[in-house]
Amino acid sequence: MPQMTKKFVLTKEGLATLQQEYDQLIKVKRPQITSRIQSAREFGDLSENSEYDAAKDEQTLLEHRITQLEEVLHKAQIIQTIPKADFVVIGSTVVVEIEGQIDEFTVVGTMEADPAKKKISNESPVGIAILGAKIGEVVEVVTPIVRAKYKILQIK
Amino acid sequence: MSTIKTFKIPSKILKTLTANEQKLLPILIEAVKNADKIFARQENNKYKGANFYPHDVSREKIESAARLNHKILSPFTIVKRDKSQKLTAVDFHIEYASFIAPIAALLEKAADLSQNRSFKNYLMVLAKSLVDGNYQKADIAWLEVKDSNLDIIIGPHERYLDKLFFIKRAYQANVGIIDSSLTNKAKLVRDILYTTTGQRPHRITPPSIVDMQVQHCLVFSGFLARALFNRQHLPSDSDTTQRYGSRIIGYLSAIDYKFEKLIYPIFNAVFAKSFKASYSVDLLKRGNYYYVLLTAIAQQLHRYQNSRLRLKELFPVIDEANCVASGIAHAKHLVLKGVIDQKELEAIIISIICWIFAEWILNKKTNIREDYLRGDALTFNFLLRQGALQEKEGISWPNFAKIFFELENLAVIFVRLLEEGEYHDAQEFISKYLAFEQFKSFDKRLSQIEPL
Repeated sequence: MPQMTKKFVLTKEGLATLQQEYDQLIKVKRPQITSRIQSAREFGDLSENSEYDAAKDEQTLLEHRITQLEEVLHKAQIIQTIPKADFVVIGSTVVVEIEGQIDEFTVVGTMEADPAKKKISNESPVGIAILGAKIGEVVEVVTPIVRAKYKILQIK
Repeated sequence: MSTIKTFKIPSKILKTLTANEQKLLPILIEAVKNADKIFARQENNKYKGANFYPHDVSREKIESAARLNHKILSPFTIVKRDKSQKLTAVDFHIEYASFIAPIAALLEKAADLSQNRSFKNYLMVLAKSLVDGNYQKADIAWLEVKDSNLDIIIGPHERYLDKLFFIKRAYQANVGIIDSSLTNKAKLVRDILYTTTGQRPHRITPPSIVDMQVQHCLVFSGFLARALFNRQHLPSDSDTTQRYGSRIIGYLSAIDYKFEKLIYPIFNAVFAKSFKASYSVDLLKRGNYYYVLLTAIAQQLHRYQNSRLRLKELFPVIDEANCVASGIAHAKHLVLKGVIDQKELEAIIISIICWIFAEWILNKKTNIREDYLRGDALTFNFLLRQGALQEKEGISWPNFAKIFFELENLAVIFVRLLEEGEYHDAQEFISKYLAFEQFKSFDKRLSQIEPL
């Protein structure tokens, strides 16, 4: 049975940002860490060498991120920006009402998600529930533990 | 008995300090440890008023004396008898001058060395404030510190030691290394909670949104070492907070220490083996951290006008109970937006249950946290009576969806009490749900766990 290949949904800008990050890691960060490890080795006994341990830890994290980015860039699926959709799509900025409060966020692909900047993943419970919803529609988001109703007020 | 608690910090955390900060650190640690001597003179568990008041004077006599001399009930004085047996007040900075002098000298030494302008200023102002008793200036300078990896607090802050009037402040000190990554994540959680909770008519709105800081603690001394708080909201003075803002500090080392010594052993004691298998230590640790963070933010989100005046001595109980109920109810938005996942929310709910038992255990050693226990007992009994939590032979069986639903209901009740409830409303709720009998069925399973 052929294995399903996961696609990473990205906007054109999102892809460019990730490509930029990848280039920075490969061209700048990786040589920097390699050099730090080399210098730390020269300090002597590795078992007591905390600089060496710290640099190795950082290298592990860096290589993990590089691998992750390579996979995403390889499997990226660019979504077309629809100038003005009358339903929620990836890339839409929506104004919603939840429990009497007004909230605003943009639905993006998982790799671009950054709730601190009000970018919510299309794979989050809200993202899944509101994709395709129209203005005025009330969408119920249900997870095994929590539930909430979102009213779509505006799609930007 | 010494009240100094030191924590081990991984070397990679120490490496985040600049060379200059590494030079300051041993001096600051020394200053923090010295504060223990002042707390030792304040603490006395045999008396409700600790050593803040003469032990043989009644509450009424103190109140009567305070009508003639308001300094008697100042947060920063010790009450004594003069030669004519009249009650008189002595400022902390005078009473403890000989213990404060070496602390101030160390802070000045560190200030001379510091290359961070705002931190240098704070250290100088802090040293002076301890000597002259103008603590507000130090609080303001602390809020203005920028770009420092180090944090230090020394001074009289919390009121819990004064069980007679809940006024006098106990000396505490701590020094820690700020974790910028966790601090930023904490700010994200705060922002989501603040934007999704919205405005309420009676809410007290400070001049700025509460600041967040998560730190790896090196040393706690004085009251903080005794109470081992997971987090604090400072400044403790509400006038300063109203005018200059405030900050929640998450004490990561204390959070992890209590997880290891208390929360995880409780988890192992009160849940069935088949249930426990679905939760890794890392997941539970994360749940515990989020629990602390959410309850801390909820406490600041739900500050209402005159709530202390209306609810009197019942206020801290309702307030603590609301931190848990509202904090977890607000976690809904983190799940919906994909900031935390389903399993993490379950781990947070497990942490609630474990913390309820933890307060029961901790209270056996010290009653400093009694209000926390009373607040938790309300939640525990409410959940049991609503059938959200089942108990059989000391084993707990949680129904997460029902617990969450009931916590949302509880949050509505507590917020209403804080917002506009009267004393008798709080009294009525407390008399209905405050009981400790249910803890006893878990006692056998919990007996092996030491109260730290």
